[in-house]
Amino acid sequence: MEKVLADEIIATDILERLTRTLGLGIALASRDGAVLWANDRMHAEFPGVFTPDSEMRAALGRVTAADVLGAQAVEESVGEIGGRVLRGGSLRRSIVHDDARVYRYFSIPVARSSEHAGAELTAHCLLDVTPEKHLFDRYRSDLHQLSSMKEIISLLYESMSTPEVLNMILVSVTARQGFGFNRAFFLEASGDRLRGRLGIGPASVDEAHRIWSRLSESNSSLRETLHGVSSSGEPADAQTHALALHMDLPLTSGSNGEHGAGIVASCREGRPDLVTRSSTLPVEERKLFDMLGVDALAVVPLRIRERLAGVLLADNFITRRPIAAEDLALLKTFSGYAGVALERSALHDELTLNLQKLRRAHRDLQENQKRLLQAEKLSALGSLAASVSHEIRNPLVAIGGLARSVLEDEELAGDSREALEIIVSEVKRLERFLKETLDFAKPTVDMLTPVDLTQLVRDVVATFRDEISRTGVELEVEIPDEPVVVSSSPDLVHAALSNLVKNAHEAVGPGDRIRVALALVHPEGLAAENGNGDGLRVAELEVADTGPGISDEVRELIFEPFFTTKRDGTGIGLAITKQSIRNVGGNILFESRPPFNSVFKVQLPVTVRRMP
Amino acid sequence: MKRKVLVTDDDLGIRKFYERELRRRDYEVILASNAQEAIEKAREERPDVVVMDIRMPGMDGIQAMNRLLEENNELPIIINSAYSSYKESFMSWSADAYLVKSTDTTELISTIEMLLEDRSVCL
Repeated sequence: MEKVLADEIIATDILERLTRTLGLGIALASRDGAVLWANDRMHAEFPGVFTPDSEMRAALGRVTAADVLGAQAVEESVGEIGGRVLRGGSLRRSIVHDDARVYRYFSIPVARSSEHAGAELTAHCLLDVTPEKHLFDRYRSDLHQLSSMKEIISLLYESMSTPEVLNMILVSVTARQGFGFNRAFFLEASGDRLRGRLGIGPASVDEAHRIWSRLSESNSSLRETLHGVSSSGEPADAQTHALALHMDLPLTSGSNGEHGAGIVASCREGRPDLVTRSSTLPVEERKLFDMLGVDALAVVPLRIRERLAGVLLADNFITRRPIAAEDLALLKTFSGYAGVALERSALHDELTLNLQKLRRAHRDLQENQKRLLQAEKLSALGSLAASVSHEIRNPLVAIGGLARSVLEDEELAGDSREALEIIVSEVKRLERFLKETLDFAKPTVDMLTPVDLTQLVRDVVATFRDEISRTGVELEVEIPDEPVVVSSSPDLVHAALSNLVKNAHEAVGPGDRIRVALALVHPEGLAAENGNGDGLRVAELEVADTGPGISDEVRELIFEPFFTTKRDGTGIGLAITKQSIRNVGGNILFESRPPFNSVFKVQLPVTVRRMP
Repeated sequence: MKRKVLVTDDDLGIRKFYERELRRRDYEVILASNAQEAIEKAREERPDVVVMDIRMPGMDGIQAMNRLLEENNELPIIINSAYSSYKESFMSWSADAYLVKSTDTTELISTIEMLLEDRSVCL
């Protein structure tokens, strides 16, 4: 036994030296696992655990605790240690003590005596690696934050418009996978003031729990969180945002501050700062702290090139967690990227605006071109119509006039008289055509006079009524009792209405209906803006028919000069009608309103005065 | 005494038509087929009223009218054209009336009568 002890003492002496140089905690165990001896370090670290004759396995079990590694992991490790100890093997395993110190465990077989070459004793060593573990954890967390930062930045650069980018910045600051602040605000530098523009984060503890538990349940990635926030558009942070909109700081304040501390001072110097509530702050900033209900704010100025774009404020309103220097350092790094993203979005906004302007200009140009073309066509039509009218009218008047003259003068045989009468009536028809159609192609306007449309409609309808009913077509007429007076040219409106009724009649067959209606209406879009709408009313003359209507392809072309679908049409009737109606400040529209497949509406401005 | 009407038109059919219509209404009708002839006939015949076409070969009706008015500022002149589009500007041409040619001569006759009446009042 003495020999044994001596050997052990030699062994422990060596081990003791190891203890001094490495700071190892050492306990010796016999082959059957009983603790024989422990050094001072071991006794100091774990008093009353490694006492002689206690079970090594139990002792090791006592210095490990279920902690961050998880109970199962610790049990496994203890089990394994115990097993290996009993088998006399060597292993390495971290053991976590309950006060969060971290030890590296290993065992060394120790020769018991020179006679026995086999390892009969085992030295169980515990090396305190707490500082290393902390360094490692720190490294791991830094790595995590760096990868978060990388993700945030790539997300930031995917956002295009300024509102999108601002939202992303604030979400990054508050997201659990981002910088983990409770709330974030952006104040925009405009002129010599900082004005709150956006705020996000929960407004109360309840809301915070609701939002955070939902987020942790969904276990979404930062990307999903950011996109979820930016796309869901739910006003979850309405209160916090409203708070932001109340923020307003003069950029000139704080110039007389003690050491340049404060939000504005931080902005002016362009350096991120941890600003705490204090009596030395400018009064506006103290009020801001009161409004926010916090004592500390991370203040991060955002700069576009050398210009201050605004400032980011972040706090821990809910958790009250102090803002650590590392938090601020991370935000500082982030602010550089955020500034670049903001600059990019400002350029993007400008580009978008310019693009919109260009598009609008392009569209206007196209429309002008179309109008010009239309005007050119109409002008060509006008001069063509004028010369056609002239060339036809001369011989026509000669033929018709002479025939009439002969008819009045001479004694004629019955069939000659009949022939002359036919000539006279045919010429009259041609003359009417010239008057009603070609003459209205002229670009000038007759003197505008008050015209009672009710009478005019009655006149036009009267000339067509018999002809229409003869063809088995039903004619519906709707005219108000009171006169509807427009300032226009009676001939022109007469011709336009006749033309439309004629067209309708040509489009229908027996059993169809033609509807001619006159009504006072409010032009679309104006009625709502003007209470009584007096003076804004237009007279709407409608000629509708239940004929086949007009196909969509043709619809756009019906008012185009020289466009026609009729076999013997000239394609000028509707073009001229439109032009002449336009000339008197009116408009003509086409729509389809089953059963009326073709509805032409002539709108004419109503004169305010009534006819005497 | 019959009133004299000078009808100027390059179209034979039109001249014949107005000649018949006006003669039947007891006017003395002088015809001219172009502007130059109209100016000469006006000098020789001293018409009471002139009916003038606008578009004619050579000198047009407006130029002819201005020449006629240079010689006799009191001469009533009716522009009678197949163009309807000039109607609005006739006032600036110092014509007394602007009519669009028509087989119906009612308006022409009444205009001539009105102008002659005016003239007799003035005289």
